[in-house]
Amino acid sequence: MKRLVVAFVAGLSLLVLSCQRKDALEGFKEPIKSLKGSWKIIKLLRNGEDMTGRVDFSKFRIVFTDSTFETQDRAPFIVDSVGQWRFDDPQYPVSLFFKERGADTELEPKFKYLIVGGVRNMILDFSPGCVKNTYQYTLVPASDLAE
Amino acid sequence: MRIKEFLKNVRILVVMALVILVMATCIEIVGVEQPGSANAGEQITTIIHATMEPYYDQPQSRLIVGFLAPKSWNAASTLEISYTSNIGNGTMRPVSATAKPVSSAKTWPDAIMEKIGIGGNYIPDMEWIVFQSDRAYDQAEGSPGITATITLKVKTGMQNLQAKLGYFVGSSQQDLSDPKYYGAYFSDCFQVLNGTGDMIDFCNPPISTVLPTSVTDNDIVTISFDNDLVPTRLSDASEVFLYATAVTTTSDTIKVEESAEKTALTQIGGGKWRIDFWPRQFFDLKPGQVIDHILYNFADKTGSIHVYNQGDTGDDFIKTLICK
Repeated sequence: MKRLVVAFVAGLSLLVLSCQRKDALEGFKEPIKSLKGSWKIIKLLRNGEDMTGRVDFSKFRIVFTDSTFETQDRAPFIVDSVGQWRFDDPQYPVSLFFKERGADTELEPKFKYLIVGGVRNMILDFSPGCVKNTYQYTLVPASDLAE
Repeated sequence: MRIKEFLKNVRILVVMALVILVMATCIEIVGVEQPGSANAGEQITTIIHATMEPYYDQPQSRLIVGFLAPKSWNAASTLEISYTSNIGNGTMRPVSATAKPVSSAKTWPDAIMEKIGIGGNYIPDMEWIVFQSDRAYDQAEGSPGITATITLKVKTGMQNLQAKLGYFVGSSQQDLSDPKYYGAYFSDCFQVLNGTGDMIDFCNPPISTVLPTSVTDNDIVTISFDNDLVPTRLSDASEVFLYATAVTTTSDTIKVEESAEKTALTQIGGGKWRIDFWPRQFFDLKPGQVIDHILYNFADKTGSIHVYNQGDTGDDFIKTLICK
């Protein structure tokens, strides 16, 4: 009998808590994603081959504001100066666009925006040289890792 | 008595076998006259001196001549072969695509490739082109030996390269089961000059390679150095450095010739080394400057010992930066 009472109370509690959760989700809104801040390269693949550490781009940074970017130091990156950036959808971004200052067209790398081990990762695929050579850069916020 | 008869038969068999073996050295290339170099797209003429001694009846036998050249020559489209001999003169034409040597499951080019290969060449991008005489001859055991002079004319390709050209002489009624049954010869390194692209070296081991094969100055480039292929003066070096010159599209030259951290290769096992770099950074290019090609060699710490495209000798390695 005692067991039945315990089970009943537990079930009732779950029901109440789930109702509270529902109330909490009703107010939830997917935040707008931002690249704001300084990003650094932590991984680099060339045609699938891991080149991380084989070429030193440790000083390279790309700094984003809400709408602009600026590169610091240099790397064979998709952009090499200052310009503007945008997401196709700031809440659910699937595509990222760069437009260098003075350029007529936007550049669109393949783009992934993930959280790995609690750290936001931005993964970009593009070809800075020959089109048949593809590079995959993984960047993280520079302040997230010990310098 | 039986034993004596048996031994007598064995002696006869041995003598017959020896005769066949001696006679079987029936096809031989005894000399080749070939130029050492030519311009790209130029027609060259090679004279092959061959001897043939039929050791058994070969009715309707045709002279077979093979020529090994880089595939980029597309030699089948320009090759012309004729011959003169003590039994007749004539022209030659390509064997049919399905023609095979006697007792072979492979076609003539494949069979020759299997038996002889590509000689001393290091890049397999080569092919055998096989011709046969328009006329067939009845050969019989005991016929007088044949002395033939074969004239081969072919146009070189447009690619700058050096390769060892190959020549084959055989008979359409002769199997290839033993080297005695055909003649083969590989030339010294033949050069195609004043053509297009970097010099492709079929003759020497690839001491150095560049990856990716198609690159611009905005790619990450890996230059490898294999010191295991041929002994060089850097064989015992504990450090190896890249000495490079970038030549821009406006013919400016930018030299990075120093033994420093920036130019140091990393040893990746045995005598194998490599260096990865971004040319725009490595050569400190200004905006608008574009590299056309890179000349490079390898040096020791002191910068006094260098290894070039033929080891301790030769020229700088060259890599044209182009997307193909």
